[in-house]
Amino acid sequence: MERDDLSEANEAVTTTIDTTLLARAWVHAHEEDHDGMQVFRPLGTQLPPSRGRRVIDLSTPEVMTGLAPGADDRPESFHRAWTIENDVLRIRAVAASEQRFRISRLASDELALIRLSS
Amino acid sequence: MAVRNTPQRRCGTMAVHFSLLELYPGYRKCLTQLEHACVERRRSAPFARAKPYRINVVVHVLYNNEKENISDAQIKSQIAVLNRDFRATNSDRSKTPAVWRGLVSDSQVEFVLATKDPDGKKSTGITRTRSSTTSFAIDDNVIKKTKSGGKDAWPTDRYLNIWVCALSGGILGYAQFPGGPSWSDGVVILNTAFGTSGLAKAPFNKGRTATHEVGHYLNLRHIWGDTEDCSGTDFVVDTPNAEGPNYGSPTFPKVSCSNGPNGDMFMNYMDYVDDAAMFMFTKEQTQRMQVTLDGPRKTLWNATT
Ligand SMILES: [Zn+2]
Repeated sequence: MERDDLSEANEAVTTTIDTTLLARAWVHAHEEDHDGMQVFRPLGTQLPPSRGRRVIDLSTPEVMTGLAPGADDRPESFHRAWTIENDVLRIRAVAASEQRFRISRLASDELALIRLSS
Repeated sequence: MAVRNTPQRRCGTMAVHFSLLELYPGYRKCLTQLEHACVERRRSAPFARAKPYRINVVVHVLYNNEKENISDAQIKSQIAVLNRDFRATNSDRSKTPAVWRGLVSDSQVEFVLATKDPDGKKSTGITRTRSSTTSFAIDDNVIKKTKSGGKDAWPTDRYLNIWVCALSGGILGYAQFPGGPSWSDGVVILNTAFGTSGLAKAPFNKGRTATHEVGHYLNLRHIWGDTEDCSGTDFVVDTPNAEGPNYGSPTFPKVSCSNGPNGDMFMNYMDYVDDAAMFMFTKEQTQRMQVTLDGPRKTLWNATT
């Protein structure tokens, strides 16, 4: 929450983001974070050892693959949807696929569904 | 045997998610039973233990060159840190913010280098193995297999096994939760993040990586609950909900997940801050570890080794 407010307050000068530059895998260089900014470097950059680092891969349009520290400290992969609007990077949970059903019958002891094509 | 000597992340390989929970059905069952036991313990009246849990430790040093064959002194410095941190006799616990000072807890766990090997022969509790592997991968447990150039565990029901080596992947160590396969049970620590002397290198030269990993080994979760939003939990009530890991040496208070005014308990051993910035377990974390020691890890301190 606080982070969103902060970035909106720091309204950047109209920036066009070079999406070809953005389209790569980035690793969180948390040692370089400052003033509410999270700093990422291209994956492969030599960084000091760390308890764990976040990796976000933006090389595929709309689908983000990432790595985050797992429960036992080894990295685990995750997936998100991403879009870019002006200079705002939006990251969302991957939308669940929708199924549609018509409720054909509903009683205290029965629910009957007919699957609709989407 | 694959020899991996580039210490940086390899995207494709790293993305292979090794899920013990799926591969090993007994693991999930054990962890579920432990959750129930924790709830039970919380309901019952607190009791003080008459004597601490005493755990025999074996440290397996894996080295590719003499420099990595770390000294007995470096190993002993690590055991000393574990004993201070798990008995809350670490002097830096006084840095705990006043609001949480009452939560700082003595886990009543003590660690001693084994004096006998699995066959009952006199031992230093240290094994030393030269390996052709320059840097062990973190996703294949090669380090835990003598056949593959690592070192087999000593019986994991009687010893806490700690492997110390050069690790690829850029991380400082990893652990196995209770209930997993016995052959791979224990913790693995990067040789430059182990103990307080020798190869130990700032900001991870205060032995806290092992404290953190042994916390996992005794079933503690990260205080941010392993999700990147506010939905995760560490199954412990007296650590505030936190959004994600904290790094470096944060300034109190650091607020996330509407946990103001006190914010994240980043000085907890189960966060990701630098060694010098972490110095406490809470009462509930102690309870959780003790439930584990009275349950699946009972043979560890009851052993006559
Ligand atoms: Zn951890």
